[in-house]
Amino acid sequence: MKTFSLFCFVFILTSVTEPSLLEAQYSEESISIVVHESIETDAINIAQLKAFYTLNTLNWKDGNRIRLADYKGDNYLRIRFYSKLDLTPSKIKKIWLRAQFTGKSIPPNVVNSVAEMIEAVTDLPGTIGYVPTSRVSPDMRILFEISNDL
Amino acid sequence: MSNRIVGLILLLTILTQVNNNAFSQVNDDDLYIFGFSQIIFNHRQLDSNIYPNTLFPAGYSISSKTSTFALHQVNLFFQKSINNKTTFFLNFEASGSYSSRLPSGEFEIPEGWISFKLNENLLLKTGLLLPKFNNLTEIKNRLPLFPYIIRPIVYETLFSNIFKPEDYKPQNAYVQLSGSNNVFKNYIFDYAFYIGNAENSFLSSIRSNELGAEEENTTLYRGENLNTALLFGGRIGIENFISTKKMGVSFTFDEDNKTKTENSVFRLPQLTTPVLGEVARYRLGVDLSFTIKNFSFESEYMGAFHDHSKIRKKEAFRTAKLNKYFFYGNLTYDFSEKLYAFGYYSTNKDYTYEFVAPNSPSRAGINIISLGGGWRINEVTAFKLQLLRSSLNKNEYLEYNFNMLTVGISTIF
Repeated sequence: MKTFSLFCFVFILTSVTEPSLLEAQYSEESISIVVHESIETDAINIAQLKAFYTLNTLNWKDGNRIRLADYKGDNYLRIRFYSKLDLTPSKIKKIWLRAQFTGKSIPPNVVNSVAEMIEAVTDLPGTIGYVPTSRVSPDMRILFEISNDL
Repeated sequence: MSNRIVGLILLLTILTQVNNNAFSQVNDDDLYIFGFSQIIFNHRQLDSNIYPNTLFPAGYSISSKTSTFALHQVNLFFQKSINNKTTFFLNFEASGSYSSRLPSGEFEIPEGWISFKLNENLLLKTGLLLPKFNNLTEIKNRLPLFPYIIRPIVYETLFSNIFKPEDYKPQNAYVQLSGSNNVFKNYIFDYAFYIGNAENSFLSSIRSNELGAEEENTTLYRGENLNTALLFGGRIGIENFISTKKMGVSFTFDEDNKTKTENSVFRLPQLTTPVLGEVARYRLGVDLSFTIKNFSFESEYMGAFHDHSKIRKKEAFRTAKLNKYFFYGNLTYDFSEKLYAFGYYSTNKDYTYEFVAPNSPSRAGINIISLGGGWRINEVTAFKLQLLRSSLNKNEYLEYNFNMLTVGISTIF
């Protein structure tokens, strides 16, 4: 019985989703969906954004491939972002896995922090990502903004 | 605290802390190698009672229990983007604890294709590929995508020795043209048309000594399609990518290989079909899947319809009917991002043996009910548990109950 209780305790501990404290500081901020300033595209709407992240749109207007960037784990930014898209991290993972396993697309570029996200968007051509609006740099173009009224 | 408990805690800690390499950074130009494995343990019990009748005057009973570990399946994928419009894809698959030394399991290359993006909405694939037929055919061997371990019977490779999946759906194709168009707000119309060989039983197998003299003389290499009839098929569907609703209709036309006598799925030795030749076959599929809050539902129907006009010209086969039907429905509920439960039901009926043995077991129908759940330990590892019960509807020959408990760990790498 003792062993079973201990197992349950460890199981619950490892099952609980703990949002990353690193991103908690941005929980009150709006989120900007950003690309490198060199990408020639207009502002997008929520349906287009969802089409990008659900891999229904794979290329930019100039034919170059859209590279998705996403955060690792279940941080506040990620949960808010997918909640706006009416998705959850597990649902989006399933969509990406299906695309990956059927050869439709390679997985997104996974980053560990906002700083890494900024680096991915500004350094890798064609990358789309999302950052707290206060972290948008001059060499980024904002395609869409998710307000903090969720 | 015993060593076993410490070990268990360490294992859980390692599993939950492991890095997620499956989604690490990938450059478009790299050769991208990835895959998955699924290890299972199952305990199963079979109780079968063959009634005394004209085919089996004595009747007999079989009861067996087994427990086994297995490396259910390992897949290794290679993907290379040659340019923005061209992609190469290769899939190696080993199932059933494959070993050529023992021998056990099976190894195959189910896919090796190159795709060309003709425009934003049109894709051409050539090579050995899994065609689009209903929702699951294209992903039938991608185990991490499924909540369960043991797939619905027509998709499960572990049962392929006793159950021919190609009786219900196409196995592969060689050229596929597919596309999608945004028809109205958030709705995508998608379509695919493909062509391939007729079913695998037409392939030559020089080493098996199963070839007739005429076939042996005409065969050039092992695995050659010895039939001029090819497979034609396709799927048209509609999908709402905002609310994750999807439905489609699939179809194929090919020939069913009835050039050899065939035992029934239940291996009843006296229950065989005579040689009927090559029979034109149409397969129809309908799929529907949607997500509402934490519930995900998916279902499929398949029907294999034959053109019996040619075989019914013979008096002995006047009542012959080879049609088959399959239905499957699965409901998954996500308690959280990590925990889920599922339940599925499937049923299939096969009329093939009805004209040689009326009210045959396969005509009566096989029903499967399965319940289970899973724990996504981290983004690449999931623990799954599944209870499965299979039984036959009432018939004149056989009572059959099959219960199986399976646990498994699926890992993406």
